[in-house]
Amino acid sequence: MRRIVAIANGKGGVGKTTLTAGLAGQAAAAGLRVLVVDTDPQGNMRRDLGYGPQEGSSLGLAITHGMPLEVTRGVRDRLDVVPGGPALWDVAAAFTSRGARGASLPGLRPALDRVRPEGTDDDYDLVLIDTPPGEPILQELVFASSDYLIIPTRSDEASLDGLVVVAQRFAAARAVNPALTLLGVALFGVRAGSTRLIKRVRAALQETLGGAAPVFAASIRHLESAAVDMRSRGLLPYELEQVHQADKSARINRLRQKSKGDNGDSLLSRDSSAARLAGDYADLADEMLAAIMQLENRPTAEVAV
Amino acid sequence: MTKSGRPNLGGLFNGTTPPERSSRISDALGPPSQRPPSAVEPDQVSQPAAVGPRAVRSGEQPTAAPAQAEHRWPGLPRIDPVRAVDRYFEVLQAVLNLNHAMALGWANAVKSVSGRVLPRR
Repeated sequence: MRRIVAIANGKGGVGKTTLTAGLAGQAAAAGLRVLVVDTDPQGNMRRDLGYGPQEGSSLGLAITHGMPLEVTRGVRDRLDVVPGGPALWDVAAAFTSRGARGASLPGLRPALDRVRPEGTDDDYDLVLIDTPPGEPILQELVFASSDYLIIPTRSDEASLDGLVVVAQRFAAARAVNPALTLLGVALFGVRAGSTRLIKRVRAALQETLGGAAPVFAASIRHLESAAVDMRSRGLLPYELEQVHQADKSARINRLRQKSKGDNGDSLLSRDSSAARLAGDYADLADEMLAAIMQLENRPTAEVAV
Repeated sequence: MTKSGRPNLGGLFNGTTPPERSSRISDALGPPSQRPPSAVEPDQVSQPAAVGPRAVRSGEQPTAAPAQAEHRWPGLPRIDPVRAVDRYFEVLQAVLNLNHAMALGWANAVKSVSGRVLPRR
């Protein structure tokens, strides 16, 4: 049974795309069949997952005209993507004009329901949908098609304000999709050593949420150099850790053979920080799946990552 | 509001507090069990009762107002002016968006044409 999880906040730059890619990669590496849907017209998911620029036309036509979705298969093992792109700018206009005429539109869910992994009769286990912050119609369309919502936020006031925006859109979308459930809030871009600040932000978030959902215990640390390494090479956090390990082995071999190394394209991040970042994503993916299982009253062991 | 002055969003997330604005897409998609199979007639647009349930806006009377209006003026059609105004501005926004897209397309086309082909004085 597939679970559709939207990643959204009313503010940009809070880590939605990076978090979506990281969680998807982590879940796929753990053996789940995962589909990522990028509903952002900026299409930045391609930088995180390392595929070429796309128009997003297929996704746009699926939403407005019910056309079949074109899936980019095998971006990683067990990980497929429906790419976003500039064609998605047209969706909001189409929705508004056709809505004003009283004409109905299919939305995202029918096309999504028809997509299956290649070469198997089984379904995806997890569908993660990245959303644009400044396109309320696209965001509501995603909410109308999702089972769960995760809200990433940074610790600054503006990011917390984005929570209010997304809460209003969430509540409005429940008129169309009453089953939509807030899975939790994830702290993203946390600076190392700011324990007291994080404790305060976490308390403020819990108070703001009023018990409707948890603030995830796992948070994603801010590591500028690792972020640059990942996006410039299209690497996921656990892959950056693997690259560091391979790099380390190569250095040791060169030392043994007394040959000179080639540092022309060296990594900016350190191996220890890459490992910690990969650990953050693994912990958050664990927590996300545990939260889903808890809400569905099933033992966590069934799909443990 | 919470003790620290932040808005309490719990009600919005668990469904006990209605949103300030109704869904922008609910009319186009329709509620889950009653999605229209084809286009809705345009003349039904200004009659909320024919479209199906929707979230209540802040400041609106959720249930009693339409029934009272019918009772008070039985011969008159029921029209929701808030909805009509909302729709009018949605159309304006759509026209603006389309003009924006067309103008951008035209500008991009002009930009892509070589300087030799463009008329010279």
